[in-house]
Amino acid sequence: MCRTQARTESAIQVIRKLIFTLAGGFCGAIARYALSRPLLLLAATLPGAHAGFPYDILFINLTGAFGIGLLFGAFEQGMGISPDLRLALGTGFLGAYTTFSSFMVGASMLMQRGAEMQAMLYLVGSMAAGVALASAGFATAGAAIHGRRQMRLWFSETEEELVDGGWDERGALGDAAIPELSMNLDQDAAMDDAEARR
Amino acid sequence: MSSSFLAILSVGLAGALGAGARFLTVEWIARRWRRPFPLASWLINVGGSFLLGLLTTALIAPAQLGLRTLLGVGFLGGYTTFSTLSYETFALARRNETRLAWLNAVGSVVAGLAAAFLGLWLGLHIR
Repeated sequence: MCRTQARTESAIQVIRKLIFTLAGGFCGAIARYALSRPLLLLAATLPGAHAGFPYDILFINLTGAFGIGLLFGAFEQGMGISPDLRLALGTGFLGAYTTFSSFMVGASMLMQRGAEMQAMLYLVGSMAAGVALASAGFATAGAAIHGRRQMRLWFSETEEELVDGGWDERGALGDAAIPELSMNLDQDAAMDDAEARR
Repeated sequence: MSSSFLAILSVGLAGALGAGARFLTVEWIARRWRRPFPLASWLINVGGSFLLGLLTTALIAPAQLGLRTLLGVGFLGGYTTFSTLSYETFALARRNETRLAWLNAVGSVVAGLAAAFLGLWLGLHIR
């Protein structure tokens, strides 16, 4: 009885998370689809543009990498962003807005067309810039949070006034774990979790 | 209702299903894989690259182009993700898991490219 109840609750939780992911994914896929043609047309007007190069996917993936750096960076550095919002914007919107499959197939098509140099630049450049922009988004979020804290410090009489308004102080000091990621960086917590499950 | 409105709506719905499938895959794998390497994202991205390669060469008849857009741009576009890959690589590097960060970035691109080529090749032969 108790176990069934717990299972039902966890199923409801998963469905709730799924709904937020679906909503974000719907908007993200539409944003990518709608931006693709205008981006290609815009790129074609630039001097030195190569016909047939996937500028649309390049732009979309890099802006999405910066966006996720901002979002998860803000959360990890102490800004209270609810799990629902993280799922809708991170896993849903940015996850669906950016795409890896078109990146890979686009690069292989460049290679098949004999544009190996372009393909290599596309592969290495996208991946390096993606990680660099995720890092830049993280740093930007950190600077914004720090700036906000400084401002509030100047305008508030006491230190205590800072602690309010959905700001996770624990996160500000260290790292708030992001459960949406498919990685387990907190090994100790993972072990405890595994123990608890047994 | 214009056909382009319907096209946008259907790509959005397929993308939502792709994102939902990714979420469920991550949930399922994360319960079983408790190591720092982001295996779920890696499998999703490499598998999705293979499937997109397959669709690209298998569905080339004019009547199939709508389906190809729906599955390729919509579903697989929403299923695979570049933003999570970028952030997870950065997160690994930030926690001094430098080798895993390199493995994630290089491993995703190399395996994804191989998978895409395999899909493109297979699509030509099963068509």
